[in-house]
Amino acid sequence: MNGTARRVAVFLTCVAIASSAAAQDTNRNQDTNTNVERARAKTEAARRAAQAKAESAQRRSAARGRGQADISEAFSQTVRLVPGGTLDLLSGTGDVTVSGGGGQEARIEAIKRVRDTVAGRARTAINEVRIDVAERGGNVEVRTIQPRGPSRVTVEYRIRVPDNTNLILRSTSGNLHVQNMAGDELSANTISGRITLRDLTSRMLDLHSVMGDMLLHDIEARRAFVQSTSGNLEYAGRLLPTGRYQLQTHRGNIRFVPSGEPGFDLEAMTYSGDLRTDFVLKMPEPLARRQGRRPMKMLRGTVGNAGALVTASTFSGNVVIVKPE
Amino acid sequence: MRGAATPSSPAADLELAQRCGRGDPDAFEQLYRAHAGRLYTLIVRMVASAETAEDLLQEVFLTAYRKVGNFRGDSSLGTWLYRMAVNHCLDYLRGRQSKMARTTDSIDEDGMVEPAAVAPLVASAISRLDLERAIERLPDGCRTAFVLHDVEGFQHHEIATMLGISEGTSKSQVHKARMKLRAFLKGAMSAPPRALSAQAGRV
Amino acid sequence: MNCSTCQPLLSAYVDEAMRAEESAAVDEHLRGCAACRVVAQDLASIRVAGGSLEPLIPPAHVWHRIAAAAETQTRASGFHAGWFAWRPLAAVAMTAVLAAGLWRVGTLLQPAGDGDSTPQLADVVPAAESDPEAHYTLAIARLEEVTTADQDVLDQETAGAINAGLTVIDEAITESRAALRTEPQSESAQESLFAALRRKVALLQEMLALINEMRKGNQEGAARILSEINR
Repeated sequence: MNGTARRVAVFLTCVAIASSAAAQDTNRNQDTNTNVERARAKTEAARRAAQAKAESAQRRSAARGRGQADISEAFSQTVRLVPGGTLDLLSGTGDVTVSGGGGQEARIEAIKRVRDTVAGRARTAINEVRIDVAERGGNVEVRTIQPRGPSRVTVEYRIRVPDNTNLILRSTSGNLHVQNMAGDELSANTISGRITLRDLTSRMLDLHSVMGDMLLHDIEARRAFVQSTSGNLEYAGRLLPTGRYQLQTHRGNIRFVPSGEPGFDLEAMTYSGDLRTDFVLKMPEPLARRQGRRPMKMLRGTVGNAGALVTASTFSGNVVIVKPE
Repeated sequence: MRGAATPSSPAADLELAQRCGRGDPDAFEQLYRAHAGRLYTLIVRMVASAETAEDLLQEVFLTAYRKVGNFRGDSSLGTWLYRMAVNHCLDYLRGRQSKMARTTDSIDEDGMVEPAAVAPLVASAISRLDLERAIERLPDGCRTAFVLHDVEGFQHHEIATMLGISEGTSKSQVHKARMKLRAFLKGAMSAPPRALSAQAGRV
Repeated sequence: MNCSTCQPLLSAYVDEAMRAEESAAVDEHLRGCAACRVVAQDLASIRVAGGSLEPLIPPAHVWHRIAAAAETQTRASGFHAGWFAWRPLAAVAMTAVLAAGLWRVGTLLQPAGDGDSTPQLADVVPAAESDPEAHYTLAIARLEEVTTADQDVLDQETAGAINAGLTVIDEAITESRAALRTEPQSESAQESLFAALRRKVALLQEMLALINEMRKGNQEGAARILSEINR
């Protein structure tokens, strides 16, 4: 055990040296956590510095205000997409809208837009914005390459695909909007964008955002995993008898609106928020006894003829389970 | 065998393996593009979870990346990867068994379902989705045998070797799986028993 | 032969894996038994349906994760591979024992042939089951080392957005931990903590994947420029 502890110390000393250019500390610290913490704090500081740099650069360019060059360029491409195929889109900044109703092809339209105080730079930048569309065995892959310069670049997409296309959509800060689809799988991932799904049937929904809200209306899914760190979540749709629905947010509120005559097992929890349900829950006994005087932070029970499984979990937000209007 | 990969010559396999072994990222991507689909298909059905399958697929490819330098061409690259995938699945399933008691084993042990009044199943009428869902509901042991035999097309003696069981056990596990699937598919009208929806576990 | 002795044989029967005498006996029973005939037909149909199941396609993001993890793994073994041949070896060597992001299924990499001087990672990292939080924390530290170093490949807006996201997640982690100190039994605080830790790992992995994409894109862009110059 002693030998292991010493090897741990050696290893972590190396990490400290590697991550800190000015490290003078060769102290053999036997506490794993402290050194990991230190490295992490170092990384966080570097990250905050980078973030501050980006923000001040943006403010500088905003301050120069008038005299901004603003160039747009349209893009359009149609490519074959087999029924049941997949559209895989990676975009950075700029909203993405995907709708069904297309024939056997993906019709991709986009608007590239560059803003810069220096017109010449904007013109160069817009030529460097690339939209790469590739067809692979009946599936379509779209990649957005944004140049690294000081110009502000957005690429906004409008895409039409066959109803039963599977979707993989990833963006950094663009909103993702999907409607009228009946594909098998839909996976959407964004950092600060909002995700909106409307009028959609799916076997598997897998949605993640960090700061964005998620609004899902008229959804019929077998499995849904909806997750945001600070965004609000709203899910309105029909529950399937063997469905599994999991909504998780840290800071946001959750609003769950099951339609029809739903039957489900519910587990709803919050740390510091409130819980409310319109539905009568048949609660397992031990939990009913435990409620006492403490405000309810956990709801577990069955609605109707159980079948579906619903988990709604938030840290500081509220959870409401309501009937449709 | 049904699940055979696109045929590739031994020379091509060896060359790709060596390039991967040298850390060539394009070679590694080529390896992935050529084999991931088939492995993923196998893994999803073996472990009955798409999320776990992604993790296991990742693990298989990263293990392959580490070990591909030792590939000597005794089998094809596809078979080499396939065996690795089967082993990873089995390890995962074995590891899981010790933590979670599967409640499904107590249900419907012999599955002699309904009388002759019920019409026979016609293969073309079995919905793919219903079957996939039914396969997910099978207990680990017989699901493994069913996937390898009926879906992937291995013979019982091959399955026996892969799983470390006797040929007789392989046959009875496949039979048990088919009988349970039959019960699930024919019982699809009624709501699933309580214990099964609890078994849905974490997504 | 009656139904209860016939039924267990029906799979072998429909697979035509029986000796002649046995299958003759089953034939005989089936001639007179509608119930077993239905079972036999069902088993055959299930076998056919199983064999016709379609191949599945792994989601595209899986490849990105694998590529990112493979890159981390390659760095860990001090490899001079094509992705980062231009990185100075010194900085990479010191992080030689940082392993691939295989934390999710609890498998860890043994660094390639560095002899006894290199600590084995399995000794250093607590097992996932006994201390999942430490496991995540270490995985996050590893990923941050790699991503912070190479952030400059990304354009400012992307890097800014990712960093803003990481800040939000970090706040969530801090709040959850504080809550757990007050109420160690709180299920929702535990859920929140692990959800935030998982999200952070996922975001860092995505960042790594984006860095790779940018690099590949830059290389392709650079190659295109070169080929035009040489024309």
